[in-house]
Amino acid sequence: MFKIALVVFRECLEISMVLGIICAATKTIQNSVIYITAGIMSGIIAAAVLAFFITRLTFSFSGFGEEFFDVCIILVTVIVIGGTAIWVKNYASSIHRKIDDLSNKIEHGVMPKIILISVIATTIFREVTEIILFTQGLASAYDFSLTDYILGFGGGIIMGVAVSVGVYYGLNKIALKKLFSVSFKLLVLVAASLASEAAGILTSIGFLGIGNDPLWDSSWLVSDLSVLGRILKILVGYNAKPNAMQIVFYVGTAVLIFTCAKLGERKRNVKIAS
Amino acid sequence: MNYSLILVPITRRDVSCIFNLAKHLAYIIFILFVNLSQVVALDDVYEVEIRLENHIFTPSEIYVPNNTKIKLVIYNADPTIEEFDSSDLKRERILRSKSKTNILLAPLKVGRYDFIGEFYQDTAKGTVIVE
Repeated sequence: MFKIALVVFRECLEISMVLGIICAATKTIQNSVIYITAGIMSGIIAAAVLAFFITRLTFSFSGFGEEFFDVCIILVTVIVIGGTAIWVKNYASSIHRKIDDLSNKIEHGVMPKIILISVIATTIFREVTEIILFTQGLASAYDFSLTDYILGFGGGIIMGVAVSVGVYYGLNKIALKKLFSVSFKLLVLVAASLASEAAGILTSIGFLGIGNDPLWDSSWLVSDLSVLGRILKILVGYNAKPNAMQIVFYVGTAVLIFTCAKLGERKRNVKIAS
Repeated sequence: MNYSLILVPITRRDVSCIFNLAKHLAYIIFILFVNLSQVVALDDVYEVEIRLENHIFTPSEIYVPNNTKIKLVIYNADPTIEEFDSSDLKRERILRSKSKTNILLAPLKVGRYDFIGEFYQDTAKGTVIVE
């Protein structure tokens, strides 16, 4: 039972963090809870569907089917999280200028709601597939009773939710103005980490022919397998032996999102000024 | 395709920008797909057979030449599934039970690259040693 709880919690850690940040940054959207819940449910359903098929179908694509699929999911998540980050930045600057504040209600349009659902759905999808596969792996070895499963899952999810709530309230303690810029930076870090993970896969299969060799080895400082290493991996995408492509993707994604956000601000100013 | 467009739509708050996004995404995925099928020219691939039984990889030390494409042919003889996980090789793969999985690796530099079976980390471990 504890094995299951531990597995669920570990995989939940990443979702919890992202969910906590998103909830804090989007709490002013009306009925945001509905969209968040919709995102969670679609993510879980999609993951269940995938897990059902993964043990039956074989993707091929010259033997890289799984990697191709992984990379696609990761890139979609990067784009969606980047979009959320850009939206958060825009929203932050409009509050800062108190421009849309006609009746204390801010018109968001349909974009953030769709972004909200997608970002949560994609993050949940990735992690829930891992959880399901991991649990399947454990199940085929150990004889777990139904209570073990229920308690294990329940325990793991509760701990995960605790992390989310912790992040949410932690962020809320920060004054509103700072909240958005902090959330923005955290989301950029998440997106950049995911992008570097995709780069790792692409170089490993030889799709990107250059930048394959590890640039440095910082295992003496923090090892990939240590607890600190895993936490850093979730928070900033830490890798003890990153290769050049991963650095490029990491920095490139961060720069791209910053640029789009800045451009968005400028467009808003132009629109408002005219 | 005008890629500066990718910077503009995200700032607009109407549904057509979703379609723009989807269009760009579909394009990127298509490019990936087309190129991926050309990645593996199966000449000069060094094959290694690994057997996973009782949650132990045999052989657990795999010697391969450097700057050569490598194919790990892993047969999972256990009734349980396992996940081949290597942060050094930056690769993760589900190894279905009682079946063979091929993992193709791009040429590697000299060094040691550890891997584990994520579900049974205590016993399922190995290293790819490139010389």
